[in-house]
Amino acid sequence: MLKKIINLAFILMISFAICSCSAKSEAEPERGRKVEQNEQKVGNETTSEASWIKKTLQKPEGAEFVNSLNYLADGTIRINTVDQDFQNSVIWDTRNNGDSWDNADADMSLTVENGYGYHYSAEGSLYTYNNRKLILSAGEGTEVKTININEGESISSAAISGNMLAVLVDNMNSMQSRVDIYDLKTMECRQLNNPQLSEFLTSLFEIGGSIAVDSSGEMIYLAGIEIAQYDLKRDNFDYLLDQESLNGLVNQGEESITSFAVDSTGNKIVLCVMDLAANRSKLYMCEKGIKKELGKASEDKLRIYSLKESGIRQAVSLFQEKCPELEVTFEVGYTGKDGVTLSDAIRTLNTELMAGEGPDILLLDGLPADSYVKSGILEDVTGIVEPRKDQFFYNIISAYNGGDNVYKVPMTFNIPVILGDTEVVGANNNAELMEVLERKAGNGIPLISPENLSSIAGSLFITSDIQQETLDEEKLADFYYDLKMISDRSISDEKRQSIDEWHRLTYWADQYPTMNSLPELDIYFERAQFGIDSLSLFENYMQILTVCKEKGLSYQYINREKGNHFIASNVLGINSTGKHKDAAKLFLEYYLSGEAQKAGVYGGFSIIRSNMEGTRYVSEGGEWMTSTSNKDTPEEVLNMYAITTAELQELIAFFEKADTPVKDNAVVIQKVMEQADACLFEGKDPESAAKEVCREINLYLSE
Amino acid sequence: MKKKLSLFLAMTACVTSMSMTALAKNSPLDVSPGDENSFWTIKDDGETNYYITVSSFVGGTIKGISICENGVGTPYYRVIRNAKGTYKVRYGCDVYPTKNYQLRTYGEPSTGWHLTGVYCP
Repeated sequence: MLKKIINLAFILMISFAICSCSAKSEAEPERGRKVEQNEQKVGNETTSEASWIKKTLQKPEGAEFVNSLNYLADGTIRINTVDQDFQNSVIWDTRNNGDSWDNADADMSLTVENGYGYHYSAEGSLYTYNNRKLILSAGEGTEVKTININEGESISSAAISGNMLAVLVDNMNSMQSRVDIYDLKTMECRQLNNPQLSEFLTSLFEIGGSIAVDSSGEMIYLAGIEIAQYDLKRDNFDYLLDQESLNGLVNQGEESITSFAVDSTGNKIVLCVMDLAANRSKLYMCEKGIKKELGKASEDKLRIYSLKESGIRQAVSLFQEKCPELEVTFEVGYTGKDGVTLSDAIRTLNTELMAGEGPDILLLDGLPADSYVKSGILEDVTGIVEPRKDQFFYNIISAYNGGDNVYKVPMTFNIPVILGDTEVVGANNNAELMEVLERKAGNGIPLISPENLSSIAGSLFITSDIQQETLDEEKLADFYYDLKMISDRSISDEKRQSIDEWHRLTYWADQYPTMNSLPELDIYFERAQFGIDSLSLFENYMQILTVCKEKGLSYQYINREKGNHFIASNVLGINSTGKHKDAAKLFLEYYLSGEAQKAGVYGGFSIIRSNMEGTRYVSEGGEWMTSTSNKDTPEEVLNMYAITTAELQELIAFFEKADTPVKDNAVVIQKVMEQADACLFEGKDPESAAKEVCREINLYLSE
Repeated sequence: MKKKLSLFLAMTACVTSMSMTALAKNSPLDVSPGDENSFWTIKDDGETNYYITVSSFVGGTIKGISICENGVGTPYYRVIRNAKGTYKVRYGCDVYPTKNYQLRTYGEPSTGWHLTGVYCP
């Protein structure tokens, strides 16, 4: 009850937040900006063409997983569900599109081992199946019929209407799916030979498709990355939903279609998806035929902007689900694919912000967040974050905001660490490190592995003092000299020229802050003396622990004389001039609740302390948990062991020491790394490279 | 120890069939209801397939998706086949070398499934 009241209050707050906003925005997508609406309209809304409108159907109470989904001939939607423990199998009917569900009291007399639930024909006859056989009954007292599948084949899905049974069969030998059509009166089987259908079935094999039939038994539907329809009478193949339209209804990567049903008109589809983040089934009713006004865009929408693609997308979807009345859009400014440069994207955003028409929520990664604070663009959210400071790694939030009021809230973070022997790790600053490396070069083991070069270069730069208000040209040239030394002492000219594009520094900058190279494996097998990694996942920590324990090494903050540096990621800021400031704050509060972060796909540790606990990585016994090896040298295995409670506390204590954010303006690191590549791979001299960077970047920084 | 040995053998099988020099990282796979995700492991090459070696397979249909950290790329769920040896699975979307990947799985029916083997993104 309390949960319901809280949910209701939450919805009311959102509604109030939206209604209280008088100003309206059109939110036209800018050139090169990818705008994705999390509301449920799919199709071209700027013409009078038909769209598909999606509505989430509430499942019956206690039903977590949907094993089967069928349309009966009278339009009833019938599902078979089980609870969260996969128990209590129940058959439910709805005659009002999911507004209410009734216990169907349907026949459940047939069972099959490892079966895919209880299924019903359009007429309500029971059938069930597993991979190898299907059994069906035409009603009480009638003979049970069984269909067995050949060796090397597998039943993927089946549907019945009248006397027609359609079975989707996967053939493991031919790597092809096919549709078998049975006449249930004679039990004769025929296969469909339509060329277009065959081509579609080939693609269906790898996806693992689902089949449905209409109540007349004349139309077959197949769901894969599209939904296809095949008219049995006319031998006609077509698409009911193309890939783009289906992608608009189902969040690929987060949801996977497990079954579906199409009504007799072909204008309603019920989709059952597995929601992987929430680990439960979801039902969507999708209706065709709603037409939109020309060019009409929704005016009340919460706009969330990210310069690059981000794992926050999942949180946006979950928030949208919690607040269906509120349209939430997620915009990506820089995709790297459409000719829009990083600085173009930032300028476009800045223009919008200055005009008071910017997005409501900004993911500040790569953006000039400090100047946004100075310009008053960001809302002070101290009142939201500070009262709950004990729940967070507040040292990181506080340091990221210069110890003052909170305008920028990092949701995740990672720590660049140097891994090596006591001499390497003992270096207090980058100059000392270079002296140590000079001494160690030429002792038979390369200083670094080639694959770790970009992480080393990038991490040394962002933890350095080369960038202040502007870039220091002399220090930058020295930095390029240092990189050349490390590279020359570790990598042969021949090897250097064959380094893949994705191990070069420009790529590192482009993919920042989530790039990895696993130097632990090379250090462990003595192909490198030291490495720089980023503590961003428990897996990294487990690898580091193994190397430290078994090779007598240790890890430490990089350039720690200048501070204990951390990389803040998924940093949220609220636009102080945004149209929906209150709704934006609710999103921030929701995000800080931890629920969204648990479901997301982030390359970083959560700012929420409780997310460190209760993970599968921690066990008092410290037993073997997993391992890693290169694809081409599987015999060289780095074992990884469960993190003990004491080791977890050590990690938490290490995180609590973080006090200095790295300097990681996206435009700056991109240019700096581009010229580092020129020095390392094209022989450019460091002074010229530094000069070129400073000429361009210092102008940019002064804007 | 027995588990380690069988995983090692599976990893060796994985490589024998691939004959590549790329550096993507093998990761043992042991997924079942309640523990559906592999460990995160680096994709360190530009190949547009990932590799699965099945050591043991229990259940009806098991589907998996190889996802990239920070939500980039939008692959589809694919059926994990109870095949002998290592087989490759198409991403069908852009791939991002140097990022961590994870295989997320689920079973149909949703209970009673278990998969062990090796995943290499």
